Amino acid sequence: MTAPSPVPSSAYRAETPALEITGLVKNYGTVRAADGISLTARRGEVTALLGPNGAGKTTTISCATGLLRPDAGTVRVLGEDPWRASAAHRAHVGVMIQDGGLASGARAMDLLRYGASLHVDPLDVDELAAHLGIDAFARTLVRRLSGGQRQRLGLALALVGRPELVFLDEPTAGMDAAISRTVRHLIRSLARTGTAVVLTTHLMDDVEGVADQVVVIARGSVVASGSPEEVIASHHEADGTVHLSATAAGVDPAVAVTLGTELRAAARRRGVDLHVTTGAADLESVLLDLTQERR
Amino acid sequence: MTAPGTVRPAGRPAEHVTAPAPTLRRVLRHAAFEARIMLSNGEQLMVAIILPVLVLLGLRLLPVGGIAGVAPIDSAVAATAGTALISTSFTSQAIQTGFDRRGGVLRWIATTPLGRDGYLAGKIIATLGLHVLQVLVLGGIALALGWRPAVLGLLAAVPVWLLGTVAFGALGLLVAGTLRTEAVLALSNILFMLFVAVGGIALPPTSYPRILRGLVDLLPSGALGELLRASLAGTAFSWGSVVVLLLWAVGGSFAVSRWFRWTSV
Repeated sequence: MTAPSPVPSSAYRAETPALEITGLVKNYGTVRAADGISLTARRGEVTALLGPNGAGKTTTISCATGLLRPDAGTVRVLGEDPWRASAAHRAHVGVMIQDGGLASGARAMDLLRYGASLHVDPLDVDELAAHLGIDAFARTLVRRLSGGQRQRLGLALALVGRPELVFLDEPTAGMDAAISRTVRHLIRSLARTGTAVVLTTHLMDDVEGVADQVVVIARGSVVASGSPEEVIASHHEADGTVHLSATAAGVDPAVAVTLGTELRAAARRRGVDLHVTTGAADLESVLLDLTQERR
Repeated sequence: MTAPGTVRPAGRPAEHVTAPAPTLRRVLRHAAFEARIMLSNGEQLMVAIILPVLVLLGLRLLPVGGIAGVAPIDSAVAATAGTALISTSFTSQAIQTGFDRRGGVLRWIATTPLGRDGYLAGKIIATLGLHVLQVLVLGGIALALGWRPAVLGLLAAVPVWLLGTVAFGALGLLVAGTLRTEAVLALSNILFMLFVAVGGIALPPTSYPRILRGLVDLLPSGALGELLRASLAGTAFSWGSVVVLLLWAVGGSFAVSRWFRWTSV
């Protein structure tokens, strides 16, 4: 039997970003799916790739997981080129692909045990199954599972090998609210234990309170990145509008109107025409705005 | 489902190791996994076991497929062996791999420690395991029907069986890895029927009109049928059939390495 290759040293792990993509270009025929994408994902953080369908998120993940070969640019996963990754390298990377990737003729728990058997020291599959509620459909054939059940099984398969870096493509798609909440807790707990999590999503619930870093992708390019707060704060709309956000609790509505009037007056003295409304621009509206202006 | 946070699935305390299982273990686990899926699938069992049994019974009991100077049971066993090999190595593999490809299974496998090479190695072992099961079941029925094989003939059939498995396995993967799933399903079943019925498996090429014999001799099924009849039924051995089957095996393997696509997009 071939002995598994040694894992990278802890010093090496600490110094190297979990994922480093620079100038990624990928074409499908005449269609450019990735057009110079650059991003970095660090250990102990959740990095969310946001964008509409066809933006280039899955292409980016596919290049990072070694499924696609970039036409240009560099991709480094745990310091290595994923296209030439060894079995030892792949053991450190967990992947949940968007459309399942689950053998339809297998039973749920058999598939999870099979996935665990590919690793030398996997997680306790019974414990993992109980945590994600897979034990409730353990003997069901994969082809008879609901979308949410498949998602949970795919997530368990991505985690069962104790990976250092996890790619989750639309991790909560098709799940009900309670399961989605459990999965988001799980994603945060992964980051707390030092795992790098890279997820793609178009659901703001998957980002707010979960992601440490957001990378907004549209038409194959990164159009914004940073913490969710930074992305919101730095966003200038196409016409130059900037949203200033202020929150005040326990303020009488009449006082709020007066405050608004005084704010407009103060802004006018600086030559700025300030539009004051209640509420604020949230991440979802930023995302919609950013991705629509690129269409 | 337990409450969130009661387990730490990603926890990697010092005593835990993130590493792949040894290569052989991964491949054998995948072979066992594949074999289990194949054996639990009624349609696959139908193609792998039931159809060859029907061919055996049909050729033994009906006055077709006979060869002058050869016991009917011997020619029937040779035809059944060819049918079983093509059903498992070609049709079953094409359909299962085609659906795995459409479902993203091949993409996911490629990201695991098993990888693409391990997947193919496991699949080959699973196929050979299914062949052993076929030999046991079909051989048992043939013995019950009066088959009395010669040891040398059985030994001669082993390399033919292996070469045929490579040739038809490669063709099955080529179909699965280049066409849409619907086309894979249709083509693999149609080709199976053609190979068996008019491709030199159920009937020897000498049964066909003269104009078709040369074509059948060049088919992988024609060459396989001739070699199995030579080893199991004592007909004349043809080096030409060896060359033809070898060319299909080499050409098919090259085509798979060149054109097989792991994704359906």
